[in-house]
Amino acid sequence: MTCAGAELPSPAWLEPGDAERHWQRDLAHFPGQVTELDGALLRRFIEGGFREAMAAHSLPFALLIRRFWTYYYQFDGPLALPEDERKAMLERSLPQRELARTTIARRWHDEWLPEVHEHLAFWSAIDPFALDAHALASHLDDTLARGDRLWLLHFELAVALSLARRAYLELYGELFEPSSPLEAQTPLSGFDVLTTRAARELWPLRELVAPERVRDALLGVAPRDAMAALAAEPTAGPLVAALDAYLEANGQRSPYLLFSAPSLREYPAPVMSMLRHMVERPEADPNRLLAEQATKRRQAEADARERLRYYPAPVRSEFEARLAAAQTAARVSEDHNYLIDYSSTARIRRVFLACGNALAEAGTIAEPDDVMHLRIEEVRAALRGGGTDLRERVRERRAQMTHYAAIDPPFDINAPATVDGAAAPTDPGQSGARLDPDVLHGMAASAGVARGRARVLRSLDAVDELRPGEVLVATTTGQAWTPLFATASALVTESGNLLSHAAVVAREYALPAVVALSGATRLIPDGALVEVDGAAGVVRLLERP
Amino acid sequence: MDAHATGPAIVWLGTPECTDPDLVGPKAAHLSALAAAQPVPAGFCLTAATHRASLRDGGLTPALRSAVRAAYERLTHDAGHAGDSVAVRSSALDEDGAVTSFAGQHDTYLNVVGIDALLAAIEGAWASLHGEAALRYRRARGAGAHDLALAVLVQRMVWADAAGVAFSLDPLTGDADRVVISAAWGLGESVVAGTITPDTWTLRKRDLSLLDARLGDKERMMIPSERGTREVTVPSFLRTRPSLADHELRRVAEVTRALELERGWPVDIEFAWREGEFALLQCRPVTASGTYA
Repeated sequence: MTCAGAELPSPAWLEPGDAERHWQRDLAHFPGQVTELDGALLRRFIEGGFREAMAAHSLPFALLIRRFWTYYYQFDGPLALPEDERKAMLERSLPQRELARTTIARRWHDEWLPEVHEHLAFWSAIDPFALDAHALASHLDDTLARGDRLWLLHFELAVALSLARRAYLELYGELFEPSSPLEAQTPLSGFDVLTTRAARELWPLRELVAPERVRDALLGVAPRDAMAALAAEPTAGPLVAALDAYLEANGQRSPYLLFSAPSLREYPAPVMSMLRHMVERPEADPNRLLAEQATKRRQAEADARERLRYYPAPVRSEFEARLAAAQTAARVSEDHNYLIDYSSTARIRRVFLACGNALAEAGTIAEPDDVMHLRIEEVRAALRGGGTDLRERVRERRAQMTHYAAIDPPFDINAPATVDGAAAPTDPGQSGARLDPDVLHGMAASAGVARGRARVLRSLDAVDELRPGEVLVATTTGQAWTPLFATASALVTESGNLLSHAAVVAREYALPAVVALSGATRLIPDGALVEVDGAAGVVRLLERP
Repeated sequence: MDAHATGPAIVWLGTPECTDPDLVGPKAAHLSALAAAQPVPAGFCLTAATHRASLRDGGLTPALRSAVRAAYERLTHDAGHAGDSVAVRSSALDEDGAVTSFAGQHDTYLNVVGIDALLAAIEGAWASLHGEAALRYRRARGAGAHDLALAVLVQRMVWADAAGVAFSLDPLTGDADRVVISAAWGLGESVVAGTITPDTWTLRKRDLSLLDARLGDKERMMIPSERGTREVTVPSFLRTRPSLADHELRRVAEVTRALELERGWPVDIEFAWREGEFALLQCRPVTASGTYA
C-alpha cells in the first residue's frame, strides 16, 4: 500500500476477519489523527453502543472501529448472516422500527433526555482532580460505564431519528416532487436547538464590550490570545466573569469526538472569534436569525398544507404525523449531538486528564497529557497498582503519531473490486473536480449564493485566520466550529450530507453551504475568490490567488 | 313547450317537484326521493323543460342566469369543507331506465367553482347530450332521439377521502344474495371510469358477512384541483391500505341493502367518505345486463 510516496506497513489487524474486511475512514468525524486512548475509547463506545442498539432493534448491521497508522477506520456493513436469515431479521424488526420512529418525541422527553442530564450531572458533581488514585480508579469505572450507556442511547436515537427523517422525506418526495432536496428541509429548520442557543446566549455579552479599553483588548489581538488580553485589562472584569460563566455553561464540549482534543472551556478561541464578530457586525443578531428561520419554516408548513388541501384525509394526517416526527428528529438530532457526543466527550476527557495528573504525580508518565497515549487498561492498572513506568511506552506512541502525521492514509482498505478488476472508486478524493477545474461540484446543503475569499482551515487551531465575509473551507465542521458560521459568508466542506451537522446548522444560520465536496481543501486554494451556490451545490473559482 | 308553463326553472333536491323523472330525469328523481332519509349532498336541478326553453331561446337567458346565480349562492352560502365547489352532472330523461344505462355518457363536471364556471358547465352538460358518443349509444340501444333534453343536477362537491360504487347483487353472476363494493382513494371517478384497480369486497347480503376481499394496488387517484380535478400518484404508504375501514364497509353494505329494499329493485350506488362522513352520490337500478362499464 503506497501513500504519499511511502510504503505503509500492513495494518495492525485486531481480530480474525479484519484482514478481509473493507475499511473506510470517516472524514466527517475524524479527519485527523487519533491517539491511542482516542482509538480505545472510540472502539469501546461506538462499537459497543452500535452493537447493542442494533440488537435492541433486531437490525442485522455491524460497525467495527479500528485505529490503523494512527488514523480512525471503520467497517460498516451487514452482519455476517445467511441472506434469508438477514431478510427474516429485517422483517421481524419492522414493527420495532415503526415504533421507534413514531415515539421519538415521547421517549426523548420522558426517557432519554432525563437520563442524559443525569449522567452529565454526575460528572458535574464530582471534581476528579480532587480524588485520590483509588477513588479516581473507581470514578473512572463509573465514567466508562456511563459512557457505554450514553453511546447506546446515541445509537438508539440515531436509528429512530434516521427512520423518522427518511419517512418524512419519502412522503414529501412522493407528494410534492420537489425540484431541490433542500425544499423538504425548510419545514425542519428554525428551531431553538442547543447549538444555536449557545450563540444566542453569547449575544448579550456584546454589551460588556462597550467600554473602549475592553473593546481594544478583545479586538486588538488574535482570538486565541483574547482571553489573556481581557484578563490583563482591569476594566474587563465584568466581561471576563460573564465569559467564564458562559464557558462553564456552554463550553464543556469537545470540538471533535476526540478525548485528546481540548474542550471549548479549555480552548475558547472559537467563542472569542464569535464574540468578536458579534461586536463588529451588530446586524448579525442570532435571535433575529432564528426568528427569520422560524418564519420561513412556518411559511413552508403552510404551503405544504395548502398543497395538501385537496388530498384525502389519510394523506394529510400521515403527512402531519411524519412532519412532526421529523421536526422532533431535527431538534433532537442537534441536541443529542450536543449533549451526548460532544458534552460527554469533554466530561470523560476531564476524568482522564485527572488520571493523567495522578499518574504524572506518581511518576508513571512524564506529564498529565501523556494519558492520551495510553490504553484504558493501562490507565486503570496504573491507578490501582502503580509502579510500572509507562514513560517509554508513551514516548514510542508519541513518536508513532509524529511518524504518521505527514502521511495521507488511504481512504479505503480492501475496497471491493469492480468488474474489470479495478478498485471501486470510493475514494472521494478526486470526484469534486469534473471537466472544468474552476467549477467544483458538491452536495447542495443550504441555499443562497455568496462570494468571498476562500479561507481553508484544516483545524480549529487556525480559527484566527477566518475574517468576516470569507468562505470557510474545511474537511469537516463539528459542533465546536459553529461559532465560525456567524463569521463566514459561506461554507464548503469535504464530508457530510444533507442531514449532517454542518448542513443543518448552516441552514439555521441561513449560510450558503456546499458539503461532500471531495478534496475541497486541496482543490480550493487559500485566498481564492470563490462563489458558493448552496442550492446548486456548486463552488466557482473566480480568481486564483 | 314553454318553460313558464311547466313550473320553476330550478327545483331543489329533496322537494316533491324534484322527484318527477319526466322533469328532472330518473337520476335526479331517485336521488331527490332519497334525500330525506340519506346523506345526499344538497343541490338543485335545472329541469329538462329549462333545457328545452334554452334551446328555443338560444342558450342561457339573463333571467335564467340570475336564477342559477341565486340558487348557487343559496347552495354554497354556508360553505362546508369544499367552499364554493360544486359538482355538475347531467340527468337525462331516459337515463337510468331499468333497461339501459347511460352512465358516463353525459358529461360530469367536478369541483366547479364560481358562477361563471358553473354557467359554462351547465352549457357543457347541455351540449353533451348531442355529443357523438351519446348519440351513438342511444342509437345502438334503440332509445328514441325524440326527447333530446336533459336536466342538470348541481350539488355540493364532496372532496372524498375515499369513494366508490356498490351493487345490491353480484353484477357478474347476478347472485342476488350478494353486496359487491368497490372503492379507492380520492374521488370516485377513477373507480367508475375503471382507470385504476380498486379494492373490491363481496359480502353476503343476508348477514353482511365478508365473503371476499381483494385489495387493489391503487397507484393513482383523482383529487380536486384549483379548478376541476387532477390525477395524482397515491403515496406508497396508502396504496395497499384498504380504502374503507371495516365499519365504513359495513355502513355502505347496509345502505345498499336498505336502498334495494326501499326502492324495490336491485341498486347500483355511488358513495363517498369524507372525514368519517358518508355521502350518497347516486342510486340507480342495476341494468338488465347486470354489468357496469
